[in-house]
Amino acid sequence: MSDVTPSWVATAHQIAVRAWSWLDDAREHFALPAGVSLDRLQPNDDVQPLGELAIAVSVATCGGALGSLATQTIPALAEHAWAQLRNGDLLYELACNHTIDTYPLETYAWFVRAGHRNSQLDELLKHLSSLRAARVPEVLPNRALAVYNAERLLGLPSRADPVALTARTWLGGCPEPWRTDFFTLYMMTHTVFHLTDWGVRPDCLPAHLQAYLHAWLPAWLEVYLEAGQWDLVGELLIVDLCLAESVHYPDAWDALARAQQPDGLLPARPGRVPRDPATAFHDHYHPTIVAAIAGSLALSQRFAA
Amino acid sequence: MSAISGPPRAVYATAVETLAGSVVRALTGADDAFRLADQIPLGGDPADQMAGLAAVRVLGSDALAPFVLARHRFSAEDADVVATSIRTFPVPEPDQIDRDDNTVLVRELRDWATGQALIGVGAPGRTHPYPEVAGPGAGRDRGWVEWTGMLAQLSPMAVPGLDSSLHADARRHRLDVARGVTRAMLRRDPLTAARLARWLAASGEAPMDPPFPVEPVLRQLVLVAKPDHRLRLEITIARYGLGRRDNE
Amino acid sequence: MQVGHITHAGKVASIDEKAAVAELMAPSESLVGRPPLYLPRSGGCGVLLLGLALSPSEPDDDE
Repeated sequence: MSDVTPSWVATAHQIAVRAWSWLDDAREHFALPAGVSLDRLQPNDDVQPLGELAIAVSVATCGGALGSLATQTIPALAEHAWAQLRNGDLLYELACNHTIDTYPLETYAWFVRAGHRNSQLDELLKHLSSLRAARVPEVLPNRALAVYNAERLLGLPSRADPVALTARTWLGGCPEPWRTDFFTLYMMTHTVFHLTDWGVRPDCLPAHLQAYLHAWLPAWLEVYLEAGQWDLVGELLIVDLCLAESVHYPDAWDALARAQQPDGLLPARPGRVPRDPATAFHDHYHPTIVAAIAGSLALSQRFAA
Repeated sequence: MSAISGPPRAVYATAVETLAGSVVRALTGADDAFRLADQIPLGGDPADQMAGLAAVRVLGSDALAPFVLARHRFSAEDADVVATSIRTFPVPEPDQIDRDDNTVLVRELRDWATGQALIGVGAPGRTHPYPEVAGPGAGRDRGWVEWTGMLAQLSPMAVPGLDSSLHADARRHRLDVARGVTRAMLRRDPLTAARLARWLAASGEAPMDPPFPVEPVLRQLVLVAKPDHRLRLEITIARYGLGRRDNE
Repeated sequence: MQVGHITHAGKVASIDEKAAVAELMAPSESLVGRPPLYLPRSGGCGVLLLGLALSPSEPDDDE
């Protein structure tokens, strides 16, 4: 292995450090809306950002490439998000009220990954996942894999067969790479994230799918780089990092770094970023979390090697 | 047909469409006779003749496909048309264009293909040597996006019966060609997709791994893209590469 | 060489005419059409965690 540090490492480092800085500065926006009752909380808008912050924290705190950021600033963000959820009590209440939705389970699993637990929630989720109903959720195939990985992270027995679940995903069908679109590629990225547990278990992605992704990631990267769709580009780079043999597409990393603002915000797509901080957060927190995950994962893999 | 006036690009584009349509009909057996000389109107308006010559020049060896692939009889008049089109629209001098550009190389390779087609129909005329700089690995140093861009411009080379260093590279790097097709499809660039599909079709029958069947791409283009004779021509010739004659 | 009925034989094209032929030979490298994009209605993509709990929105053409 060469001693020379490839250029993408420095790029990934810059992207990660800037993104975390922005996320830390935007901490006040990672909050549940004030005065909104439980039954009016929106999973996507209200709870999801907190869960996504937890995933990012859990990815960044494996491995020591980010120095004190990883020991202080970053874990503090997960604590902040966990506190917003009343240390998991809110997820417990949501699971009580909306027992069919899987997102309380999925959200909780990310916090468990970041080192937080709630025993009441543990008990309830253990019971819910033991029901017959848990075997047949009406969800998109890649969501079924999210549930499978969440149960695994919580130490819950799963009766699902990941091979069968994978076969039902778009990726699992090894379709024509030109017969896809923006949303479908997101389903692909999530399939990979859940199967490999965000790059921790690359060998859980079967060899034929590794080969499929090696073949076609370059084409998708090129198309969406040209279109300036930085959020998707970031996710495609995370997919590469989840493979057993990452390619590390230096041109794509460079493009992401150029697209990232100096304050660390990564715009989702071309167009002016709103000046109003709340709107800018709403529109672009997600790609910035993607940037934090991509950069942090790249570094942790590099320094684990 | 009365003279069409307007900027050359628009006029010539129409002429290319017309000629491409005639070539497609000749290849699919819809027309009994095909003569290049017919494409340049007899005693017609000089502007129309110019447009006709431009069309022959743009299509290059594809204008000869009815003679090469579908056994239409090639005549001396047809040879004249080809020679005149080349004289009228010569390859640019290297000093007229960007040194970094592949333009001259691409033009020389297209002319080589035209020369090979003329040899194939028994009318060699002027020889067009295979450019030395187009040896193994030509154009590969700038990555697959630029390389497939070059291949797309060279689709007239991708016919059954032709072989060269570039053909060998295309066989060796079929995955890159397939990436180019994928990119073109997603960019809604059907002409580039079809041109690159021709290279895959001409690159042998062994299935790729991962698989990348060519016929579904062609079928998709036929059904979904705007009906455009030039596109149809690329698809028709690609199907010759796949060993098919049907074109529906 | 017999030039037949081509009254334009011998004339070499003008610069514009040559440029037109050159352009028509080469496919344009500019973005021919936007790739399949459905830009989510809400600002965030909302797909990272919950895998498309959003309903798909129409293509956004206001770039």
